[in-house]
Amino acid sequence: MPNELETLDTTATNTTVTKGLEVLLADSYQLMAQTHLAHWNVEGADFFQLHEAFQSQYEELFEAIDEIAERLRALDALAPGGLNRLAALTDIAESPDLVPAKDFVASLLVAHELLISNALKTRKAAAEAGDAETEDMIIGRLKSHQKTCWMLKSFLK
Amino acid sequence: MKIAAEAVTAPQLRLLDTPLWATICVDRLIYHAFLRDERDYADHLLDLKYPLLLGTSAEELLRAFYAVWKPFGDRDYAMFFKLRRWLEQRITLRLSSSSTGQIRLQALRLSFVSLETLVRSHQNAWFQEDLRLPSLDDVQVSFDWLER
Repeated sequence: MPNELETLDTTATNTTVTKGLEVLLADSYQLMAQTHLAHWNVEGADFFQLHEAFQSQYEELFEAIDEIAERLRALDALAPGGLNRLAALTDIAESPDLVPAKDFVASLLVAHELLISNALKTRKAAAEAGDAETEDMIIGRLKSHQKTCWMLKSFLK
Repeated sequence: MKIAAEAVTAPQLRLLDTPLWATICVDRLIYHAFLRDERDYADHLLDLKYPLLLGTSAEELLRAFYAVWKPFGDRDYAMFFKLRRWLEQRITLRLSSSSTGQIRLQALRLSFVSLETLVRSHQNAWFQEDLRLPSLDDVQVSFDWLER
């Protein structure tokens, strides 16, 4: 008989946690796509620094998405896929193809903040469910997004 | 002053944010403008707050927004970006032609230097496209709330 202290009940676990992870995955995917768009289309005097900064951000997000999806699988849930399905799960708005460089930055800042606000709820749900591994992963993601917010905000000052 | 150096942050922007959300954003800007002793900026922000509170016409609100955004928007770029996006989600552009009776609804994009330029640009776009229109001023432009 499994020791309740050591085994996470993945059946009850928790739809709140897995639903939250699905949203985190979708938010991250949308944010990655928006960052990639900004990387391609940004123009102006700050082109080189923004082009490179956006690249490192979307590459980091790409790795994070894999980690989130694999966490869902570890919890016996399926990872949602397909652009339409992911778009339906996120509130992060799409940016127009071409906007001033500062608007690309501000738009990504808004997206990071929205993702953080959703991830905080899922972190809380994971803590309440005793799912320390998910909680730990989300804390890592939050740190990364908060750092990016700081950089984006600094650029806009 | 320590508190004045803090960043002006906005509550989270979501698609369904209400006029109260926008009012809170403007209140935060006013608070920080007063702390930095930027009286002129604060006065313009107060002029923006009242149309928001009173639920006045969309055009009046946009005029108040432009009056503060263009001269002062760079000081709090992220906050103004959020307010701009909020306005774009809630206000639509209504174009009507006096001579043909046609009506068009278009999404609002606040990317022009002034409200007058925005109006002129939409009038010009339609005028260029429809040879039946006698003049630019045949196209009437108004702003409508999508929801309140």
